[in-house]
Amino acid sequence: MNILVLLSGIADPKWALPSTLDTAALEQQRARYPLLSPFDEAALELALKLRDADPATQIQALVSASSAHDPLLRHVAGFRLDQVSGFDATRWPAWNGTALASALAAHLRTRTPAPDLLLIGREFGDLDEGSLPALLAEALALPFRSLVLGVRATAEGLELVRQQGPAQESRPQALPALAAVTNHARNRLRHPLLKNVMAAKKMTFALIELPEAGRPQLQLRGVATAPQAVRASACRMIEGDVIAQARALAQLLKTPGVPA
Amino acid sequence: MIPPRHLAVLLPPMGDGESPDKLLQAAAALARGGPLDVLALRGPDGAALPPQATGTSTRWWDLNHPGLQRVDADALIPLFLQALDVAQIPSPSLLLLPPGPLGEECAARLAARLGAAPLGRCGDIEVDHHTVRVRRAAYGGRVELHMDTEAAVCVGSWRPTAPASDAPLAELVQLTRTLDTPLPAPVAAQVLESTDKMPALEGARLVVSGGRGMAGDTGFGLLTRIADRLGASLGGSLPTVDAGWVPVARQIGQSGKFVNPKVYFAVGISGTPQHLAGVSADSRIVAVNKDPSAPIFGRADVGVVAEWEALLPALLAELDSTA
Repeated sequence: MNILVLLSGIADPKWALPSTLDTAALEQQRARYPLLSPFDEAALELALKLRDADPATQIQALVSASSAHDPLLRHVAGFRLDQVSGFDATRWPAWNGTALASALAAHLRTRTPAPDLLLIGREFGDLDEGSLPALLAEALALPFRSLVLGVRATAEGLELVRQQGPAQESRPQALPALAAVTNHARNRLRHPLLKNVMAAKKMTFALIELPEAGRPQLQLRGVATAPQAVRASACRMIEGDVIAQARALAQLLKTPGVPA
Repeated sequence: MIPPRHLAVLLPPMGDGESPDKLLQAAAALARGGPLDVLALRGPDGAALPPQATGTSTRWWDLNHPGLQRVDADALIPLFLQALDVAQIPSPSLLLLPPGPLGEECAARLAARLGAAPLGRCGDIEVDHHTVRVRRAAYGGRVELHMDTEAAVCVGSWRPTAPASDAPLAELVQLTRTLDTPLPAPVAAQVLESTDKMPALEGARLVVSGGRGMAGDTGFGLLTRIADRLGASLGGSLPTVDAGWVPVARQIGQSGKFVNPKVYFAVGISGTPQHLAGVSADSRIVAVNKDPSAPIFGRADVGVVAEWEALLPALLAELDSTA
């Protein structure tokens, strides 16, 4: 099976945002403090699990990157993938989902061998809110499975475990397909082996030129700090020892909606 | 002035406790007296959603399909496409779906099928002549993107942040149609037995929620018992889902569910923008955290500085003693 994992990475939220908020500064922040998001990690881990089960499985990764030297490329390569390459995150920002999906689809159609399975996190980095995986599946006319929690190869294709409404379900899935993976304790990303991390340090990477897409439908007019909810009054603190606090809390919680 | 763009709200079949009220009120306010179409889908076993008058002239479409069994985007996309034809929604238009994974997936896929602009998960929406302006959260809720488009058709999911309008109710026209578009073949899916027996987050008056500070199954065991005593629903932050303490269906936050309870009881939750994006501004937050400088106290109405290991057993005992 040929798997392509699409990864974006996020800016480590432990670090303050840059004082100048624009897309270039934010992308620099992402490249300076890179992390795989929980959804990226889950997608990569599912690919690795499929390779664990069948060593003939080939895994390639295509990463949204600031440059060929983006540390995220090296981090991903530390998992001993068959190929890791990037595309220009500044040229193809994920907020513009239609354009990015169209460009990625045009590129993916040229890849040989064509991937059997595309794995992508449920959200593609800090600038996507979950549209990109669905838009990409539509652009490629591939079956799309969202909220995927687990995957197992079968003779017919795949068996997917996914969230369907309030329940989890197991369902067969023919290939090719695109699966958007969500976070779960079972698919937390493993640590890479040290020898693979060391090997990745010697690698060089390339940014792939994605084909031009059509005219963008959305325009980004500005980036701003998100407004915080404003409280009309200060938080009322419940003081006293634990017993007194528990008593006051119990009273409060037993009558939800009644002002404390 | 009435915007020269037709508004329609597209509603998947609603689950237990789910309500489109806030979305409908916000869409009606956005229509500013212009027409609003509500396309409410249901299957043969689903009760029709009660039509609601709004602050603008509304056509309420009760659209049933006798073959709709499985509520997923594969089935809903062809139904919404037929519904748009049946209702003859004119262009330019703005199509709005409820927030949440299903609404968001349908919005993106419909946008692709219609050649429309995908607005994504919108916080605020304005319509100004032919321009649609949206604000969307990014960078874990720390940043807001301001975007606009003049595309003929725009599709997005909407978590309205503005308070509900109290405009007088306008005319309501009720229409019923049976849809007949072919649906995907039945899926050989097996529902996995769930150990999650807690009430749904949707519609809950009280939500008990834990964060990374709960540090393990023990804390969530206590929270579950407290929620059970209170008849509350249970939720958790993204890291608790990562850790396997809470199922992903109970994740609250920007990437998870949006909840609107009377009281949100947050234990061991620091109060990141990513998490608080999933809690309605109308909800009263009661927060427990051992760190008095935790950001959650900046948003909470009532706070307790305490170690959960000491407080939760005492709270449980108090609830038991007064049951």
